[in-house]
Amino acid sequence: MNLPEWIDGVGVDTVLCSRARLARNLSGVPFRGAISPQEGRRFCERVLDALRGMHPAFSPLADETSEELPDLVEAMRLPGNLMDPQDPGPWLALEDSGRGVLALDGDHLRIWARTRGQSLPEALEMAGSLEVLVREVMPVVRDQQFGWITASPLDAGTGLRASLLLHLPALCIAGRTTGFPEAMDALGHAIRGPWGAIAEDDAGLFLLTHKRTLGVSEAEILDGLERVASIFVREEENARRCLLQEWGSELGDAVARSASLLGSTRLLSRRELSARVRLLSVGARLGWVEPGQARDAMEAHLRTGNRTLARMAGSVAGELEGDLDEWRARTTANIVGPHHQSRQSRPEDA
Amino acid sequence: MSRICPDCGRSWEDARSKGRLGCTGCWNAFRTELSSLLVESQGADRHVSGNGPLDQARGLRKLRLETRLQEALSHEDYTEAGRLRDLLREDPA
Repeated sequence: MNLPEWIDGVGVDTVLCSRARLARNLSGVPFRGAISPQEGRRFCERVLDALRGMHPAFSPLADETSEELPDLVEAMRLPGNLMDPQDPGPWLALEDSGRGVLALDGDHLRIWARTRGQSLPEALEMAGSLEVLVREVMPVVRDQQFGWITASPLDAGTGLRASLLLHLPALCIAGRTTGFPEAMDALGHAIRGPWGAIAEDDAGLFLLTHKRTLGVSEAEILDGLERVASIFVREEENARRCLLQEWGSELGDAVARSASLLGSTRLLSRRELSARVRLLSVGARLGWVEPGQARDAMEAHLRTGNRTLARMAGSVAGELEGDLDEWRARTTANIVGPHHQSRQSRPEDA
Repeated sequence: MSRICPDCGRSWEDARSKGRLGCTGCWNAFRTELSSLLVESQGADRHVSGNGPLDQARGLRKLRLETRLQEALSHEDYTEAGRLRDLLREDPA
């Protein structure tokens, strides 16, 4: 399974990834939830026939029958709602190198691109280039008043959903993340976990997005999002500095333990791995461990979600919790093993 | 009685409770209701962006490059300024 390219920024960047997604829809085809399974499958085939060969981003990646769907969701290459049993039905994902099209995920077409770091204009430019190609062959609908019309009224206008993947390990360790959703709400933005609601086992990852899509231009949306992100970047630096000043020895010890432990545990819960990722990421930013160690720990985290491990183990998530922790420990040791023998400096060296 | 979309048969009540419309025709069928909902939730019921996302993205990227060029010049970092000027010349925006 390919991992998203932003993983190389773990232990280095606070904004790991920028994403832009454009919703476009066609007349005469019901939206997801109103479309029959047969009609939905025919629509997906129509999309594939129309786009095939036009661009590498229009290569099939997965559909509702794909066995590796849990892996793709847990590696953040596909949205988690595609696994929602309350919202079944056909869909089709086309993808190449961090850009692609999702057919029948809410809207008829969601054209998206993902770039590393804080680079929203580049992500929108990539998605916009694909959108031009899509519009050449698919008759998408635009309303004079509402702009690009969408399945959810709350996405209309630009049809743009832009987001930034933030890595805030120091703020998590310092216990300063409570109240994030309320604060963002007041600023007209939203923050959540990468797989849904904010959770302790998200390894310090957060997804920041905007609320308004109508009555503002795409450029204004990106500009607002980047200004809010700069607050998080500054606060993460402050939290790292405070942790170093007030808890330097304890933090150094916890980082060193994390670097040593991950290659040799027998049982490893998702929550513990998440905490180790956060510590190694802060340690990397402070120069105590190599960024590669934080990156490897994050890779282990992305490759050992409960659903992915359950699929590998041939069981159902939640039923064999102990076994999953054993699988996670083994998989993590395989990923981090060679690197975690390397350099570790002392806190006072930073 | 709740209005019905003639294209897909979805009622406004159903669309509102699910947070999802049935088809693109619902936007015409429920135009008045959607306008009120959008003013309440987004503070507007009219799209404002004239050019497409590609032009918007290129314009924003050019603006960022120009800002960085001014910063480089104000810091007398002429190597960086030259690099940014070349990028601006290559920019399709």
